[in-house]
Amino acid sequence: MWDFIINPFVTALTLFYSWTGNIVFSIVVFTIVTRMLTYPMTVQQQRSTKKMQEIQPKLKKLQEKHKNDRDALAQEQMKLYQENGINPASGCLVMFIQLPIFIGLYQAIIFALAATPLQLLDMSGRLLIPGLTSQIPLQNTWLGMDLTLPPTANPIYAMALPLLVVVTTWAQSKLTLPATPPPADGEQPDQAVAMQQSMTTMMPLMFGFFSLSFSVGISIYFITSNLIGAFQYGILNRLNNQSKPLAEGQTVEEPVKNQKPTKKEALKAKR
Amino acid sequence: MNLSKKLLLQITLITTLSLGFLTACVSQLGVGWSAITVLDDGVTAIVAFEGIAEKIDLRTGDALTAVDNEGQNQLDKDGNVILWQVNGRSLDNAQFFSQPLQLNDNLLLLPAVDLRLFQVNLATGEILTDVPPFTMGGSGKLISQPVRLDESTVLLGAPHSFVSLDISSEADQGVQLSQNWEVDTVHSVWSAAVVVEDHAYFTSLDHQLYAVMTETGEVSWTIDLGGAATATPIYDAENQRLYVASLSGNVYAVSLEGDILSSFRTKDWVWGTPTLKDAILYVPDLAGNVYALDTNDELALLWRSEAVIADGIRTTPIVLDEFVIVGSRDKKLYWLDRETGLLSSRVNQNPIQLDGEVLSNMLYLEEDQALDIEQDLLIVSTLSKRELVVGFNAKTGERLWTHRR
Repeated sequence: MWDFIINPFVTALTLFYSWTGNIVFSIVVFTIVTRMLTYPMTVQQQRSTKKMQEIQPKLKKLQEKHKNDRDALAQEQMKLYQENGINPASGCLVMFIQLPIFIGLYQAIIFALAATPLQLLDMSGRLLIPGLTSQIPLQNTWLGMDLTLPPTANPIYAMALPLLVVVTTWAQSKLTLPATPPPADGEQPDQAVAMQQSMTTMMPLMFGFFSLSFSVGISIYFITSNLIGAFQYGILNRLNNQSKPLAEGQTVEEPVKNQKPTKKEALKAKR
Repeated sequence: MNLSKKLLLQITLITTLSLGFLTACVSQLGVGWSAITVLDDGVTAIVAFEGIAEKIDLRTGDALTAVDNEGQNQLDKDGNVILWQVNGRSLDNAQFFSQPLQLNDNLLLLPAVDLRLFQVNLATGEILTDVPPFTMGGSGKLISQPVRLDESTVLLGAPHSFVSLDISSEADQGVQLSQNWEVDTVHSVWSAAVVVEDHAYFTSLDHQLYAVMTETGEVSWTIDLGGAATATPIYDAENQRLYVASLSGNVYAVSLEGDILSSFRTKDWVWGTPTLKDAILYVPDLAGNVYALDTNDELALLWRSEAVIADGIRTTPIVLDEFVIVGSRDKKLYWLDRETGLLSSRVNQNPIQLDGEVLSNMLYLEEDQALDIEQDLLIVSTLSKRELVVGFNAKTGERLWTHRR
């Protein structure tokens, strides 16, 4: 079922291994490549997050206006999202798009490292580039750890990896999701914001749990991916202007009246 | 869409993806396939697979019972007979994928994948508790089949090494295992060893064919096979040479001095050990081909079974006078004509369908009235527990019995 993902991944991983001679380096290179390939989605997610941040004042007003009518509030919120081209689910989109990649990579690592006969047997026919067979099986130890085994079956210091997964996943989530002020007394919390906040807590724990159960190679992927992701979001945050709250009646797409135009817009107006 | 419904959809999506992730990962936790050892009586066998090793009668497929020293069936407290069975759950979840080795009339050496070697009473199926299991050094999985060198020595491949074990010291009802020597390898040794005079030859996942002095463990030479190797080398006594295959797809004829004499390239990985009969080497590959190579003519190709078998062949071919029998990953058994490599019309044009992949090496038992074997038997084991072991008439393909677990 997953062969269409796994086979190219196994091939790529083995190819990187043939260049680097080290399975951990090849996982790192592989992660960089996959993060680059998913970069457009990262940018889109960041834009959506920024828009969400920008409409916060309007959301608050809606909450005040409809504090006694939940259905009306939900309808108005959805209308606001639609007007501004915001998908409340997009905050988590990148993380879930990564799941098939995790599956592919997990399987690729398992097949390539070949800890068992069935895994090595299933590796046959997966290499799409002739000649890579000579690399099989890949060296499966690194710093005294068996990359095919979970941290619990490795030396005690391997337990640092799930911890690092939790920390880096949390750090990446924090960079991805906007800081939102807590609701005022008696104010109803925004469901989408609440969802985002719970995801910031739940996702690191979920990935930490996965890391405990699965091979050390997967933890290395998680950590590398999170660090690169955090770096990407950091760069994007710097490149983006500081978000400004929207004025009454204004959508994200249209500039605020009386707001000073940007240099680019001024140049365009002159022409 | 209502916001609450949208959130519900998101949660459903998260749960579905997480479950899919777990399912996809967990589905690959299998280790290997069953291993069958025929005991010295020629009609009973130990079948080791996953957490259970059991004793069966190869003539009928029946599970055999545990017997006491007088040969009487052992009974439980309710008066039911106790089956001969070693259950890994009672041994810290031991799993068995390596072939057990009969040490003497009363004793079985049962390797577990977690590097422990258990000693089992052959009559009762009980683990010898007075002799603690011998644990191999290092970390990894024990897959290789132990080979008896002589009365006092067993040779066994291990993760990152190949070892010689001394079994000459007697212990309470069993033997005291100790290590004679160890040869370090870069990767695991999954092949068994073949012994010729004072040397043991084995292959490793580190791409090498090793020649090792059986007395000292000194490595006489190694040859790079161009890929990981799992197949056991074959000794050709007539020509005083070895044949060995690897996952590179190459089959080599190698002199006992370590020189490559000739080679043949197959289309895919060669995992299973080839079979040598009447100077012809029958080689299976994981693309589903069987090759007949003339060993008297520098491994010249005599025939290749073309476009017949849909999936890879891991098993060692069984070669009879008329047939070459192979089991495939496509869950089928094939009787090929030994002269042409075509599907034999004498047995059946349609290959025999099984419930699971055929990955374990098959057994052939010749008709023997003294042993009460009434017809030539082909014993096949599959990955499916519904057809863990199946007995066929080797000449007609007729299914005789099925042993389930």
